[in-house]
Amino acid sequence: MAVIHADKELFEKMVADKKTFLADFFATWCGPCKMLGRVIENIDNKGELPVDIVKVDIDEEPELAQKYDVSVVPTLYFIANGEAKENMSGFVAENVLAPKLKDLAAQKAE
Amino acid sequence: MENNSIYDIAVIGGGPAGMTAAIYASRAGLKTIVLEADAPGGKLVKTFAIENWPGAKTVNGADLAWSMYEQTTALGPEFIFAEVIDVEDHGMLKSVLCRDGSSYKARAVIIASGTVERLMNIPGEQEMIGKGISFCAVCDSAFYKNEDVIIVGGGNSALEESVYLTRVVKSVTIVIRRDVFRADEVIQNKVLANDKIRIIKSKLPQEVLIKDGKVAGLKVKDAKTNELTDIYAKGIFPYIGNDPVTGFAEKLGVTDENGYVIADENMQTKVKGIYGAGDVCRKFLRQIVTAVNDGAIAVQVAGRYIETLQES
Repeated sequence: MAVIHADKELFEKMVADKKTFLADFFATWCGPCKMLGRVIENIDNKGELPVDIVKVDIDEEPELAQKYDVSVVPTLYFIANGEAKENMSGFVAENVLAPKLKDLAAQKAE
Repeated sequence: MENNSIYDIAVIGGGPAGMTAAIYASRAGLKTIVLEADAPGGKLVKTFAIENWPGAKTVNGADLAWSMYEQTTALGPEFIFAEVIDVEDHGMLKSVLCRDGSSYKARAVIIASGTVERLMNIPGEQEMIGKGISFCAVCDSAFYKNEDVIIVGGGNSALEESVYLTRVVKSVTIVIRRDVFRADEVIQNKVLANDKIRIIKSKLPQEVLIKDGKVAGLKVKDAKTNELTDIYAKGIFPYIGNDPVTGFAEKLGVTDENGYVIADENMQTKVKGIYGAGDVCRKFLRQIVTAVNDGAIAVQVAGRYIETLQES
């Protein structure tokens, strides 16, 4: 599984294709986003990413951010089979995020 | 769930004071746990650029916070993400209880929980935090590009953030309770010279106006005539001060009338084995450098206290 930077077109294709992934709405100027990015990096470095992480820069993709009602960064959307199941805002620690990613992966239809 | 380990030191708060305490404690061989409710780094994380941290001309707050976090965790203390709700003093042992039901025992506790932004305490505020109410212009200004916003407060932070916001927003309305600013003259002059900023004086916030689940403005009352006025805006930034995070320590009786921890020059409170460090303490200057200073002192003194416990 990988960390992908997506624009609106790619993001919407993943949703239309009913993919299961974590959407990370972030901004380059946001401190908690940087720290959350490092938490994701740590999980990835351990080879424990069970789903793709799709990063969306809200300054590059304001329409997409608006569509998902993102008014705080970072905002995470847990998307299972193309459907947004849950969202969280703010910093999330590794011990909280890692099990949630496993739960998300378990919801994959394929 | 109760953790049966007994720690030498439990540090409440993972900001600069708490992480420094954990670094010094771990290096001294003390069994240490850090309990942090949010991102490690505290207010550092919300600071875009820091230019008064010796050794770095300028450093991003989140980068500095992460660097401290990596340094801290590499030394081996447990770093747990949990919100502390109570601390009990049982003499030689203290119990620290968290909202998630976990609890920890330690010989000494360092309170380094910092401060949080003060709320206006008006209807609509609590539910609109993150949906139009923000306490960090640097963090959230991009959500208000070409929109009207309100800043509440007349101190330095309020005025500095107002000027910062004018880079992206359409207009800033500053609402102050009194008819004069508390801020320094230099920043007042910047505000007065800025065409995008208007100032509304002697108005008391009454209610956050909400439309379609988002902030639509602020209802204010005139301090002299009681007349009510609606100010329309997409975002509200209250900058009316900070409050210490010490609700969990109330029973210990170590705080002043405003909730700040009263600690002496050795960071010792009146309760043996309980220390304060950083912004949470009653003090004159709250900076990163003063926080790390407190964290180091608190651990040295706590270490000596723990030695006396072992001797007895």
